[in-house]
Amino acid sequence: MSDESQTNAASPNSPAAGSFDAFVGPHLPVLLRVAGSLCRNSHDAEDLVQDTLIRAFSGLGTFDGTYPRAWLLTIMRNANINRHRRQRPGLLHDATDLAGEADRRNPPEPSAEDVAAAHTPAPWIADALGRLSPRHLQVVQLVDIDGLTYDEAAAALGIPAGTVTSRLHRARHRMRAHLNHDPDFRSEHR
Amino acid sequence: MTPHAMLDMIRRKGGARCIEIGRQIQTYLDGGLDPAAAAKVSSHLHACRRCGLTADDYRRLKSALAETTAPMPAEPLQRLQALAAELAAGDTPLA
Repeated sequence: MSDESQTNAASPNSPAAGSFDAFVGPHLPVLLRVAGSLCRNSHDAEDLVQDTLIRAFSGLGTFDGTYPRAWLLTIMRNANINRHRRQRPGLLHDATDLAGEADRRNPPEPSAEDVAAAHTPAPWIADALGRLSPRHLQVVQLVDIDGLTYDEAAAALGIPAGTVTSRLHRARHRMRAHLNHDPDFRSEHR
Repeated sequence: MTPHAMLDMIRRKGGARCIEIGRQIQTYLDGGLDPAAAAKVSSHLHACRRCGLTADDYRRLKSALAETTAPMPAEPLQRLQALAAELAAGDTPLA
């Protein structure tokens, strides 16, 4: 049973279980794309979305019917955390492993190579992405490449929307500062 | 021209301060400003070449990033849609 269904009261506005496939269908491409950003390989990404669907179905009665994509992304984030816990059970109760705990609480961050390999961007974009920190790269990927809103990216990462905004704006600012010296960017632009 | 006079000149362009507008350009391009604030930024971007070119940079950057989105393979989506249908039909026992 999902974390969501255990902690929330039943909602009268939740979608009917029999229409679950119609309810989640429009969101599957985004879920799979974001899972790909979180998991780094397509097999794990599909497994994560499967896990998310099963958890969402279990918790459907407690969903209030608003912001379904953000709700599904929150479930996906929790499912991803649980997958990492299962893969590293020995570290769960080690109070001294603060770095490990922080790692488990946050989805794995992609490297610039992961993003480049997945999306084959233009060389000048790949170069600018490669100069970002993993945290900045992650929000650029979720918002500017995967197409999430700030709130949806916040749900997927488990951080405040304001943090998404500040990271995203800083990342774009740094990319622009770098691209100002790139002849390919300039030649097509001015 | 002194630095202070130059800054004052920049601030008067378009009826709004470039520094203030500069902080809002990305939110404006993402559609995150209310109509009144968006109109103020839009007016300034038309009047101030420097801020207008900054906005053009961000537009081009966002557009280039959006174009890097990979096409979604059909098979995983079909399998996931089938799983959702099985769950809806009660054909998949929950763990």
